[in-house]
Amino acid sequence: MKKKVEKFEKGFLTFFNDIKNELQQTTHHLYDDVANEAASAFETGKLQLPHKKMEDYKYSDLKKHLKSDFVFYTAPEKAKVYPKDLFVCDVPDLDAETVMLINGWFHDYDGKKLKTTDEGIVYGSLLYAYENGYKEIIDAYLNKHLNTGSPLVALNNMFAQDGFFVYVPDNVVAQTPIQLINLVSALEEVFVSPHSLIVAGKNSQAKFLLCEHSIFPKYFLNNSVMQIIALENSHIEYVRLQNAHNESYQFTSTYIHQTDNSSVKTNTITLHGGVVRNNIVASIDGKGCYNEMYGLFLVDKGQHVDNWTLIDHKQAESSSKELFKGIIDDYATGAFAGKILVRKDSQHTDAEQTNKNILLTSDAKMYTKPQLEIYADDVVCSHGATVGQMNEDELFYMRQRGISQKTARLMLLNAFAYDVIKDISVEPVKNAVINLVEKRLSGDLTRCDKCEIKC
Amino acid sequence: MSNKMLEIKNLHAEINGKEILKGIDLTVNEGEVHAIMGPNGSGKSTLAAVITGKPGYEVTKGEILFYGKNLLEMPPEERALAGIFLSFQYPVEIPGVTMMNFLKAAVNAKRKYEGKEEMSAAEFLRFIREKQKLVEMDTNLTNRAVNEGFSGGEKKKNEIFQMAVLEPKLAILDETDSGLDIDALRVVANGVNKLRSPERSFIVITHYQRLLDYIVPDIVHILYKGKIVKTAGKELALELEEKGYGWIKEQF
Repeated sequence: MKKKVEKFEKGFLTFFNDIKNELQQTTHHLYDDVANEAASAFETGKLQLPHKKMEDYKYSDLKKHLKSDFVFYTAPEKAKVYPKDLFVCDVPDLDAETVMLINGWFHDYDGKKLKTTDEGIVYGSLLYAYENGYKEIIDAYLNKHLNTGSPLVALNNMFAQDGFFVYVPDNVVAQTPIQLINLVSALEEVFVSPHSLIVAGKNSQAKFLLCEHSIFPKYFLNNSVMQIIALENSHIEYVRLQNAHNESYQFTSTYIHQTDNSSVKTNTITLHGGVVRNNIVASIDGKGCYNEMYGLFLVDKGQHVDNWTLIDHKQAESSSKELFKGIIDDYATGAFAGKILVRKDSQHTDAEQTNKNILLTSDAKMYTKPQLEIYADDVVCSHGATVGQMNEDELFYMRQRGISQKTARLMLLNAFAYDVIKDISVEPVKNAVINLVEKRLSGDLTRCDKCEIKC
Repeated sequence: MSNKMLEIKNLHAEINGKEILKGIDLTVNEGEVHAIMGPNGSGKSTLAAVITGKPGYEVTKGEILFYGKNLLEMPPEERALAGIFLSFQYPVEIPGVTMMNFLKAAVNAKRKYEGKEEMSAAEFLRFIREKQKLVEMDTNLTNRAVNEGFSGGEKKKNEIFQMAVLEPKLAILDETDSGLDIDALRVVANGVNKLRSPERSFIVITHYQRLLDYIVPDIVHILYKGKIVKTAGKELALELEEKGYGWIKEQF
């Protein structure tokens, strides 16, 4: 069913009460507790929609963008569309297992809501999995290890629809990546609220590509939550490719939880988006863990991208490496806040954080806020943040060799971006990202190569 | 009589409002090797920067012609394509841009300018290897970023190598000898000498006579306080070596 919330910022609580019974029924009461808890926190004023007077949102006044009306689907639409007809993936040669959400609901284009890969990974709809054999796992992890007090998580939980569910059983080592497509496709202004869960069992290994796209040039709000649980000695690689049009609001919350000897590498690449806020939290709750958190965003015109990250070293002997880069053109703005927390007993933590940004015009703006909180005394932590222009000496050197200014600029920007992308281990994904970034920088990519919409 | 290549007439240039070049006149004909010597701060590197079009310098008077064309109206890349090459005193490191991509972009820009087709990958590799051999550059370039992690000597060799690749009409060597030990100096000078031809000219900017033992100039100029104060044959370099720059400073 399609329902409309008027003036979201003021109307979302009333709207919640209106649709609650219907939505909670569709979602098999999976989120009832957290949803009701979130609603009452907003009602009592304990929680507020993010606005700029809140320290964590001072560069992104999200509330300001929530004044309009939105349409919400309380149940999946009946459209029978194959992903290949609706959406042509811009990652050629990618041999991947693909699943798709459309407007927050699972899209079983082949009639299957839960599948198993040859290598043994179970993937599909979270709601379906909950009803069909995976209740225990989902109960163990869903909405655990994340901050339900975050306004974006609370908002997601109130309106949680379906989401991706991926379970990598113990000892399964998979080479074929799983491609998750989170698609917004509506002729009205919709808001969607998917809630996904990835659980990687002991000694397992898996790779993921999450693509976020929109089909129609209507404004929309995508407030998603992704939980990644990495159990002992599991190894996860996760690339998120955000490529929605400039009228979109994309708020994402990614919560990573790691136990002993696990490694998680995330790459958050934002090619396009109107207002983007990514909250990425890694909770390192084990020894011998490694977390690599990479991010890259390219913004122009009036776009705004804000990456807010927290790496929480809860135990000793683990390492993290964080690298975020931004290229800001025209009058766009970017923001980065990176907190590294090393708790009291987290000795021998090795944490490194780097944030580098290039402003291409004098109107472009970048806010950066590195933040180290260290309560252990035997650790190695470093951080560095830079905001600068293109290097004139490098440009001149290249032009002196006959390379045009345009080409030289492009080569330098690509090199700057490459740093973030180079460690993606799935070659087709890496090459596609390199290609998309190149096109994006040269102005050939409006939103997506195959897209009809010119943003 | 050989053809006129470069003509600099009454050139005045400043940076940040400070006049550095105060009326330079210099003519370089095809096939000639000119040495420009002078004490620190006399304007040698500024002259190289102004000829190649480095942003930040303002020409307030005079002109520079290259085969009769007004260089000052051309952006740096066009001057390079017209055949002017600068071996930088301090070659910049460009992290993330591989030598191969860099060379490919430069070579293709030149070929396009000359109306030629791009080289095939195999052709290009062969061409690069050949040029590496010519200048005795054994560095493996395939996966290295431009000048990144190169030693001082390697950087200078890399400049001469690029010169061999781009085959310019006029090469300006800006203090190519600085920071080089005698072996590296010999390699660099050999590279330059192999590239000497009746159509190619060089401007060798140096502080010391040492390099000129290996690259023997036709004409030596002394630049002092933004002006060329003395021009003579190669014997001038030796005289300067013997007497030192104090001798010049006393006279002017």
